[in-house]
Amino acid sequence: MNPAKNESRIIVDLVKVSKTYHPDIHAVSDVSLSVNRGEILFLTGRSGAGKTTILHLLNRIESPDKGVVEVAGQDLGKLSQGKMQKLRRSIGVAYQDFKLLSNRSVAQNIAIAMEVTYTRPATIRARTRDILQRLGLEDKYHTPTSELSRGEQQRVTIARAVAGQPQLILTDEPTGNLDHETTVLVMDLLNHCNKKGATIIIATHDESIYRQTDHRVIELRAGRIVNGDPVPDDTRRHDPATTEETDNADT
Amino acid sequence: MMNFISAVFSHTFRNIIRTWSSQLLTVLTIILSVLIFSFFYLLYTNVLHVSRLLDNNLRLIVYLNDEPGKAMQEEYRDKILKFDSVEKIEFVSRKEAFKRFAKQLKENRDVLKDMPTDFLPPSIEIYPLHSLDAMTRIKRFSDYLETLPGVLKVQYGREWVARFYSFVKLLRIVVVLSGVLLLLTTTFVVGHTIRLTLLSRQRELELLRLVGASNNYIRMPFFLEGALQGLAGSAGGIAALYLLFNWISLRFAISSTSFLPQFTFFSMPVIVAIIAVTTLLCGSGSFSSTKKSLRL
Repeated sequence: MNPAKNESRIIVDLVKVSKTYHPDIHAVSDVSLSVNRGEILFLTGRSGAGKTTILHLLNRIESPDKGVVEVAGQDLGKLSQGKMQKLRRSIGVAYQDFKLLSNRSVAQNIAIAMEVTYTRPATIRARTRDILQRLGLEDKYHTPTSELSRGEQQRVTIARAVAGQPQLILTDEPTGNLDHETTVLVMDLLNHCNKKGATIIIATHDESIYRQTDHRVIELRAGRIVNGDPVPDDTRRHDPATTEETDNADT
Repeated sequence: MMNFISAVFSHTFRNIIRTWSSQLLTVLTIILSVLIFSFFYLLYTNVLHVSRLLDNNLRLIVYLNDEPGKAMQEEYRDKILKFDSVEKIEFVSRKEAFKRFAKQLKENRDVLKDMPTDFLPPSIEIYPLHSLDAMTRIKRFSDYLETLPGVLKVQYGREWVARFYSFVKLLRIVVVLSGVLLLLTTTFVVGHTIRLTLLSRQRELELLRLVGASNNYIRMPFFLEGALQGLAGSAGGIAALYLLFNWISLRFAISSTSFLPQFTFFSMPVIVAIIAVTTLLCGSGSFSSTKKSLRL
């Protein structure tokens, strides 16, 4: 095996990472975890298991007390502000607090993720409409997000996370406020993004979305990995080119 | 690049529309400051203009004991020019002085009928340069001329000149002070407005950071916003001054006589300079405020 090639496959690499919150809450303890490009990874566990903290560490919203966090081959601890900003443009995030602008429309909220990459307005509009249709929100294009239900707001957050076509998507409890039907829509959208090449990390305690999956599932408890393989199995690695060919053949 | 510019402009205009009331208040403050500054500056430039008109009639008259010959005249000329450059030096003989006096007396010239034509002293008329600097040196010039040999007396509108130029000096200070006021207003008020905007948009800024917006992407709309406030404020201030100027000119044209000098408004380069400097000040005020508040 070519080690260099193997290295380039890895998009997320956590090495002995620990994070403690004041006064003495060990959110993450000594976690080592690698994720291949094109993988879908489920981080599971109860509330307080450390799932959200790991997602925050991957976008440098939080910094680890110990260990190394690498995304796309770059050590986040050593990354300059400018480079971090650039990296964040290739990471789509949908956290539990949504971070939606209540006085803006659904379309404007989604557009923000694309505007920062200077995407053309026509492309932004087309992409927004497409994603909203996939999520069953096509009639909410102009609606202010303050007028949406929690479930709808959650879908808009996911729409914003995927709109910029990032290489890494981090979603925290993406189906937490959704019924079965909309959960399927959200998972279909995430799978669609994955087929297009995005690596997706889903933090969830909703067993229904990972129960019968053939993707890697890692269980956390009290900030430690207690179940699942922290190192990816290369046979399960997603190859966008191959998948797209298969998709086309299916069509 | 085009996409960056269009994104920055659309952000800026969106924000201006969203916070129009505080924007309007800031623009009004800038209008007032520019109006105050440009009013005094206009007054100052017009007073300088008036002083130049008066300078044409302002001269130093050096009365002499004896009428100087050609060689002596040259000597006086050299000594005068040694102190300062002047506009013109004119020698007036006793006879010339008598003629002028008679002309001034008009119908009363008969009183000179029995007088000898050489009873008036000869003199040198010195016209200083038409500049404020030359005017401020006039007292020293007069003192110097009194030390020249054969000089009887030096005469000029000493008191009037002194008063006029201290008024000009005072006006200069007022212009500088109103300039400082403009500087403070633009940088502080615009900076303050931008800080308030930043506070009200904390959520959005947080989100922008989360999705990887660059520093320039965040900062440029604020800079543009400040610059636009400066542009609108300074243009408004100049327009208000122009209206005021026209109103005053119209009133003077009706009520005053023609001896008053013609007042003039700023030339186009001065107007452009005032607008450009205010715009730049407001832009930089907002830029530094953003830099401090966002710690970018």
